[in-house]
Amino acid sequence: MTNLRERLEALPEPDPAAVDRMWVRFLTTQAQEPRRRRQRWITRGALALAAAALVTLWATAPESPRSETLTAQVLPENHRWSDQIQLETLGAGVISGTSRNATIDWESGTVHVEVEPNANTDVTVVTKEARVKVVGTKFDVRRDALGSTIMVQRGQVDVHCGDGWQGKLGIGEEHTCLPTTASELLGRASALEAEGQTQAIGPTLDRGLALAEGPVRGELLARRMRLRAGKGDVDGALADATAYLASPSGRDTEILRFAGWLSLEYKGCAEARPWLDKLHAKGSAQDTVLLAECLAATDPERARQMLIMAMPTLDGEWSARAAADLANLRKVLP
Amino acid sequence: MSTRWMMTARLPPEELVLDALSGGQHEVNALARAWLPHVYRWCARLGGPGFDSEDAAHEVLITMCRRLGGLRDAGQFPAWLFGITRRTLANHRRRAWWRRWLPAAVIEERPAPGGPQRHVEISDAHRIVWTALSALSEAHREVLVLCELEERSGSEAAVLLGIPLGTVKSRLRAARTRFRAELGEEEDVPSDSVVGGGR
Repeated sequence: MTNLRERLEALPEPDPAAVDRMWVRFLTTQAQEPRRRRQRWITRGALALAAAALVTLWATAPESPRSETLTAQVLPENHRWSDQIQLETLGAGVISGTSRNATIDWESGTVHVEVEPNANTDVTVVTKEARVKVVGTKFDVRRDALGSTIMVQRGQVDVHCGDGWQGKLGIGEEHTCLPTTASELLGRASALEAEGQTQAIGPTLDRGLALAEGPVRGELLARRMRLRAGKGDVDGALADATAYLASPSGRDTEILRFAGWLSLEYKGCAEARPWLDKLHAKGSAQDTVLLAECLAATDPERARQMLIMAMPTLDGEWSARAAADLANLRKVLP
Repeated sequence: MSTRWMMTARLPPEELVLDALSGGQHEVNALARAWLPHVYRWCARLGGPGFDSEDAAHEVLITMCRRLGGLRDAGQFPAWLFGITRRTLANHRRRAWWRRWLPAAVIEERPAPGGPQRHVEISDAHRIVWTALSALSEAHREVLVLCELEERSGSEAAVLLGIPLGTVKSRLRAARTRFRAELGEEEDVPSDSVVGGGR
């Protein structure tokens, strides 16, 4: 068994000459130390500057835009887009952009927007009818058949409507940007009628007719004809009927009858004759009775012939009315 | 033995440290000169084969000079310097490990002096002992080198390692047992007297 120390001494001895070599090397290094220290500080300074530049670059680097679909159909939903922008939605839309610069493309329903004031944050709500730009405020945008309605609860918003209206809305103010297509204006007219807002229906129909073509134009004319008639504007209503019939679109008989009866009611037989003649030509028996009554004074024989021809297709009240008219004519005819 | 002077050298006096702390470059250099052989020996013993102990010792001294101003207690200087040596060795080993993975890396083996035959004999004995030594934990290797190879007292080892004397003794006992086991030898009479009595 060998002594432990003897075994360890098998390890090679350090070279004694190395101590002198190292001492020379040490003194050389120490002599160069001030210059090295200066270089070290320069290097550290350069590294610190580079790090500061990197941090600055990182801090000022543009944030990547993102996008989020908003769909809340039954209950309102809260969305925290960023520390500066919060939404409550009931409807459908898409929000996109960065934490401080977002655009909400709002399709339908109501979006409640809260933007932190004085936070250098831009939010724009875009609907088909409106572009609402805000800087630090709280407001709602509701899009429905009436259009896009902006209601401001705090701050101020800058509104650009597709219908041409442009302005700023303050606290408590509200504005509705009108739809920009004829069919949507027709929908707005229906919604106004359902809500009983009759005052706004006329301008809506007028705006729609300025844009409309084809069937939508006919429907708008028919609506305005009724509206005008209801307000006693008989000439206006008859003008709409004439315009409708210039490009017939399926409801000709109904429009002719409305115009004929309106003329008969407010203008008399002379004005009603053109409408009633057309209805008679279309084979409308009850309108033939009305036409016969108009002709009775000037052409009783023709009136009698018309009534006789119409009788087989009449029933009820109209049949009795035609029979009474024939009895009266027998009194004046030979 | 021509190099025996290095093994038995006493640790430099504390006054050198006090002078260096209060003096200038000349006093610092004097301290470095006094400790250079010890640092070199630690690097050579603890670094193992293929390790550039000269380079490591040089780095230890340079670090010592740079950080000396931060030393608060001159009495702690030996443990403080041994700590620097320990960290420098670890850094060198890590660098050596990294170099193995670098492209076109060259791993240098330092040849032993004395010709090819002598080189082979020394290399065999050296390899066996070092293999056993390197199987030990760093704490065991350190205490074995200081107490057995450098023949330092337990008190000196405790000062250098910065641990209590009792810990040195128990650690040395465990290190011896483990070292023998690694060499495939049986337990012999422990040389506790070395630890307890010193030189």
